[in-house]
Amino acid sequence: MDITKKYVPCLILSVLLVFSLIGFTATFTMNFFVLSGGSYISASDDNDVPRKAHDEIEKYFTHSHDYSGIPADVYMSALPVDTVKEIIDGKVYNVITNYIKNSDPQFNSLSDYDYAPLKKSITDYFNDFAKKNNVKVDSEYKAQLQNTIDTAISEIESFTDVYMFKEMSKTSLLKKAQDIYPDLTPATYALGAFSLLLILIIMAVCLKRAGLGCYWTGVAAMCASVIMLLPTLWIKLSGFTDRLIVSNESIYSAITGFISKMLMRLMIFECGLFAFGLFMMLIYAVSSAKRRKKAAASVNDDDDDDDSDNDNPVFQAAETTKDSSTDTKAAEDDNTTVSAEEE
Amino acid sequence: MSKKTALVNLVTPFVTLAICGGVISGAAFIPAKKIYDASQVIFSADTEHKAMSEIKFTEKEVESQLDDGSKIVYPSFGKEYATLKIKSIDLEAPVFFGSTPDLLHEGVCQYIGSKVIGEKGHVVLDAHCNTFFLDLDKVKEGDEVILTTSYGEFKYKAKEITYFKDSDNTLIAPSDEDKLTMYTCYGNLLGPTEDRLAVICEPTDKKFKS
Repeated sequence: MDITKKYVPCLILSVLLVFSLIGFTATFTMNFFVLSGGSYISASDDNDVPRKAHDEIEKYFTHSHDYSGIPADVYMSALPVDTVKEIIDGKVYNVITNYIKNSDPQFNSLSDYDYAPLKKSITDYFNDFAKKNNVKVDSEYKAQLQNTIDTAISEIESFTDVYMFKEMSKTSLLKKAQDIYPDLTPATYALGAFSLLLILIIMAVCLKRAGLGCYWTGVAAMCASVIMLLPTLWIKLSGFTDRLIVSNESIYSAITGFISKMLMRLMIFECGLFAFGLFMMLIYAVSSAKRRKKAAASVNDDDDDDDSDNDNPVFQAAETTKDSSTDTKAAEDDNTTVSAEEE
Repeated sequence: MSKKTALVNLVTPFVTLAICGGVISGAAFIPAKKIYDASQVIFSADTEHKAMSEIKFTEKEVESQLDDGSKIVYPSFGKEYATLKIKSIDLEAPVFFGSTPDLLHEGVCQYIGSKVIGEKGHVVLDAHCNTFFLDLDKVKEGDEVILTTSYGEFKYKAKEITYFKDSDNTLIAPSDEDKLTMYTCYGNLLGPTEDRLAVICEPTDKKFKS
């Protein structure tokens, strides 16, 4: 039996399977997590981001009262936490779903919230002020009112851009995501199918010894999971992402919360892959043990009438699991790759 | 199972790992380096996030001697280091070194690019029009302005009242001329405004404690 006859091809197939599994994991994560609006919304909700953004907006308008003369209540009465959440979710939807997934040509990081209650609140306060102070409602007054409304909306949109989409749009990152997205889903399925195909090929190559196919599949799965798990674990356990240089509480919570969620999902996937690999190794170990038992039993059957079994070198060889002609023959018959020594 | 078989079975995963790891390391080296360099900038805070809001500015003050032998104390950022009094408008307010939204909420702020009170040159103070500088527009030429610090008392006289746009920095620019400029936003309507009111004062007396 030529040990290299099957070992090298199976090793090559296993290496290809490792890359295929890594590629599948990466595209799957990109497609169904990173480029899924639900992930951002979920991370935002889990880390209480809408409330934090609401508090920052309130602090801003409290300070702005010092120079604008408009109390914070005028703005905040029209801006409860639920509304802030709606605005944040709207931005995520516009960027992830509309711009990246639906290839909308125009980038829009603003939400589609109409701000009608806010406009009414500011307008009412302006009108009350004008009545009390006999201010003439002329074009200058209306321009100032509109400027105040526009400034307030602009500041709210800025505070609710917790994932910094507007800043990201200044780089080529979002445009690249838009360009690759159409190919991402086919790539995910293709890599998944390719991985299955490689597993089938490995099984076919090791057809006469199914346990061995499981061994190579297990090796590939475990290697792929270790390659991905090590950096993921390091980032998670070292707290690397906690060093994000953003002091703004809502943005910090949103971004680190999203990264943490993504790392956790990756780790679960990789642990699952590792467990799968371990399971395949277990199948191999069990089938190997069964084979050895069967081979030993067949040696025993041949020597049923021989009372001096202990002296039988073939039997001894089988007992001690050293190479023997009978064992070699049995192994050769099964056409194993790592075969002769296993007997 | 023979020892050789067991050894091969044990070594094979590591061989596979080494091959794959080697290929990935080689192929991904350049993009990984770019990502690493970027991450060193984005994730470079050396203070725990929770502690960032508790960061206090250094309390260190620096005592210095002017050319005429007078001693002044350079305040640390955010420190309340003087009191501003304008009797004509019944104003008495703390003066902070530095200007941030939080400090403007607490008192009058000194523009950090201007001279420290007592130094020769241009001292610039600002505050909000709805709080501490509410009545700044009522200051008249000749009104007395007093700034009191831990190292002396400095008197000024209002010389000029003028208006400018917030985009125009000429009135608050550094200057060798000994003067004090106090400014705030100005307008009779609600909401943010681009208009500014400035009261420019000339020094009348300087009394250093040492």
